[in-house]
Amino acid sequence: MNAGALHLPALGGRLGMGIGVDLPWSGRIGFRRAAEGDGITEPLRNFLVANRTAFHYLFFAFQPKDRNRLRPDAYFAAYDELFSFVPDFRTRGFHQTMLNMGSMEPYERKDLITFTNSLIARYGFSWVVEDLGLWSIAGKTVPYPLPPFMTREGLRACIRNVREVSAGLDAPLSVEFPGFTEGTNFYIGDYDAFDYFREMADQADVAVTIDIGHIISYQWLRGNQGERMFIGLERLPLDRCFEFHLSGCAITKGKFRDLHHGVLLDEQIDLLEYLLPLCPNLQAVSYEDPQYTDDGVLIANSLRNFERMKNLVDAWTSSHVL
Amino acid sequence: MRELNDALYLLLHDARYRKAFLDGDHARLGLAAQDEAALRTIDAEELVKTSEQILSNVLKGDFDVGGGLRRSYPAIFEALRQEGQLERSVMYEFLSSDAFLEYREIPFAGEGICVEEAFYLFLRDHPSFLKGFAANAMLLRHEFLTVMLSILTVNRDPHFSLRSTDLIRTNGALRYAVQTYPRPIVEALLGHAAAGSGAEIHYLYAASLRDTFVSGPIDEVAIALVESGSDGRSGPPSAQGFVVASLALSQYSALSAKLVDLGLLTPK
Repeated sequence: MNAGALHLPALGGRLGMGIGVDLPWSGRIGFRRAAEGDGITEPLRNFLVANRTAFHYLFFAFQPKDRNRLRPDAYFAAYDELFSFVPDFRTRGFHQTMLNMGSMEPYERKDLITFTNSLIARYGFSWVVEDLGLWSIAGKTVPYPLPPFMTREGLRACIRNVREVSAGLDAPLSVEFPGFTEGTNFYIGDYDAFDYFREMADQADVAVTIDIGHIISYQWLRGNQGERMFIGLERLPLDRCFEFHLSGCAITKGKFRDLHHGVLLDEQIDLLEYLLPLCPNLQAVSYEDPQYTDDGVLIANSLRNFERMKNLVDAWTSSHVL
Repeated sequence: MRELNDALYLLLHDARYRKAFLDGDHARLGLAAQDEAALRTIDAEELVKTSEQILSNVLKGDFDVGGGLRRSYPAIFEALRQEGQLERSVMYEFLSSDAFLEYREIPFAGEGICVEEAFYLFLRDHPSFLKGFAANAMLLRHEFLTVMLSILTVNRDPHFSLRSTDLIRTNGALRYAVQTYPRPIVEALLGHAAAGSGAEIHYLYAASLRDTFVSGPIDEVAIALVESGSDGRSGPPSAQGFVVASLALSQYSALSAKLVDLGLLTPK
């Protein structure tokens, strides 16, 4: 299946490696509120300036600024400043966190889609991504998005929700494979996650994002560790895969944890190398939530596998013949 | 039969329902057989950790969500401790309450209230938690109005609804509340003696027009001006039949100017 039929972003080929960042409105790395105008924190600014040529695109995850009704212009000052520091990043993505596409309860997305489209119009986001899952229940967030209900009814709800979002957005939607066992995370239902994800993508006719750590977390749950982590991957919708995510993971007390702490595991690099040639429509590989000093320098223990990832992705990018 | 989504909500927020599940007492879960079977994949340790994290986030706040109820109601939590109420026990009851169910952090799953009002309504309707001292009911109202009007100061167009409109009013321009407390209570809040000699003092809480939270003693004339929303240049207000007939014009103008300066009246 070719990229055009899949409603993938029209990016003109492989982008190479980009960064994905979660930007809350408090803390060291993120947005800051200021009477003179909102903006970004200094470590983030330093990191972006220092890495202008190391990466090729940026996406960031949406976090609400306050408890007001969503108004796009309330976010313009901060978002304008963010992109002003990476003028060469012509391609931009947007990671939503409120679409809640795994939900089986009434959930009104119209205003949220309108809000997102306003941001797409202003910043030219080439795609919108969100993990398939339960980000909130009865209007209250969970500490980490739970996988969707892994039942037939849950799958039907996902297909319905993904179709609604995909039809409403003014940029292509890419649905991300959910995370399993993240420290405050469990799932309900025994539907095979790879089959579930493929059926959702095919029925909703949507592009997908594969988070390498999320795949390993699911394999780990099923006892598929080591060389067994490659079992069954052909059942994923690899031809629909537009983007990979890699974020810092760890194995703690026998459980696989997606910690977003910047340090990639060897298993993630091995799986990246395995999957790169199997995804014919892959265009982007995102290093999610790098960790760095206040001067914007990547933390030392993240460097080894960061370099391995970068070398793989650079080779993949340059090997593409249009 | 209960829906699976409702069961998940209860597993996360209702300690008794969660215990029934963890104890294998599936008859109490109220689910159809296929949904009960679906729950068998739940990792019990992860479920407990998730529910504990939810409780912790509501109580202490988290990185993204904000300050937490302990910071919003410091004196109430101290009063609960003095009553011998375990903080976690109160929170477990709160998370399983109808008031918490009505809370909406995210506005897309139906209309709802903020967590600070949900906690106020919960404690107001469960007086057994704070039964020791008569002043605890006033303390609860004070901390609720302080945190709510502070929130409304920085959230002028909130996505949540406000249920306590018996306490929090609007004059069309700003939101405010007025309570009447015994003098000793007000002086304890202020940390010093209050002006005047009356046994009771009116106390104002307001999300001012200058985007500041204003609180403190207020007299009846000023209340009438705030309620009218007028700076009084056209003459003394007669809101609620209260007519300032005896106040000298110069005092009246000075008062109006002060209220405008505080952001409690719209300058004309």
